[in-house]
Amino acid sequence: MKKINFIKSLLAGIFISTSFFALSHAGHGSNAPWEACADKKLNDDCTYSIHHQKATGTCQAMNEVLMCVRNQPLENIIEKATQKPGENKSESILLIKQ
Amino acid sequence: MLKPIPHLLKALTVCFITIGLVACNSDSEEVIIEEDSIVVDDSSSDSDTTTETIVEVDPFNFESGALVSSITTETCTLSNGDEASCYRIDIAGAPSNYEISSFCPKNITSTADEAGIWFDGSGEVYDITGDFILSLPTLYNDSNWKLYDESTGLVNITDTEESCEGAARPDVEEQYQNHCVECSIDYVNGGISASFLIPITPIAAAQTINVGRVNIGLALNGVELAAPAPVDAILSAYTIAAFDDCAGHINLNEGYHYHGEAGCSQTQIQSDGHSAMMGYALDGYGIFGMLDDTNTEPTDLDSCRGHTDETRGYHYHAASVSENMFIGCFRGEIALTEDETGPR
Repeated sequence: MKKINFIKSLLAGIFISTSFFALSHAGHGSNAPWEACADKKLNDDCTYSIHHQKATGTCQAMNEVLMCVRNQPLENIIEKATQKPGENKSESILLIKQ
Repeated sequence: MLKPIPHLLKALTVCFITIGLVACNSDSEEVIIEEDSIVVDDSSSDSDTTTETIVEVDPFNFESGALVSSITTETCTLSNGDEASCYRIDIAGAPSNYEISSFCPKNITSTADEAGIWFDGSGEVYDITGDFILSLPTLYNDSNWKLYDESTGLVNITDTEESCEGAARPDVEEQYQNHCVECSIDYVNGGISASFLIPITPIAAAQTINVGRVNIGLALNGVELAAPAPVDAILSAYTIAAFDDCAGHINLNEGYHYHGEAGCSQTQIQSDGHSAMMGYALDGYGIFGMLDDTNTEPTDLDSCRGHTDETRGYHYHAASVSENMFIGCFRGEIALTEDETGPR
């Protein structure tokens, strides 16, 4: 019985903490803009990627929580088709302005 | 015999004003008042002259039927503590230039024409088709999503005022989980009027001002531009707060309001190919669409998503609908409401 209560308490704690997180910012359809500013300060530069596109902007307070506000056009991220085996993937990302 | 005196007085007055302006701005600024704008020359040296056009809020930019009363002028206190002249603008709270269309799809075979739009959970907006409803468990990676009746294929919709009230809010009532949330404009008698106090002449703030929890401005067609929709709270209750195709939706507190710029309020077309104007931010600066006539987005936007040109002065460019926001911050001072004691 005690074990069940402990699990209930644990689940309740997780629920409350995740609910608080859910209500602590407005949401974007994606958490990426918030995650991009999780460890940053107001007006810091930030980037995030969605749907193979890279967004670049600065961290701004939206509903008192920092989110990455894009101020540059989205960039399409297209991997080079000619990438060689073993080649550093991050270095082979070709950025094309929309 | 009396005529020369008024002319003399006028001439003297102009001289005094000119002297006064020059004296007041002798360190850096020269103010030239033109027909519809004030040009502030903030040159600091003869060789490095920069001129910034400041465009006043123009009441004639609002669409016919967008406002419920005439715009009036009143003294207001700005976020920096200064007093200024503000426009009191009372919007209708419903679009003056189109009929509000559908939000939720009726069943799992509905097409894009039959419903509005919503976020897919990874930063994109999609038409809420029947297929979209069916794909929710995959989109949100959660098998608890089921917005329809398996036996009939009908989508669970908040189709009464009571269910609208229980679901169209951050703390969704449990009984409305797994519902597509929509409310009729009839529940708010055709729209909730909102009153805005906006500086007539925008004044650049020493530091940008954060976007608060409420609205960020007003659209030229009489609709409120709301702060970001609380998507996380909405999704955590297994609901979608469907937008119509104009990125607007309705709740009983705010009525019809926008959470994104979908082009429906871009009513002031620009003759130079610049994106059309769609509204004003609370600081009095204009808000324009994201893309110009060549579908190009500016590359010199600041952190608030604004920049300056000679025609429009400082102005914002709204973000895309999928970003669930319009602007990043206020570049100008905003008017404080009566119950506010400091900046938002």
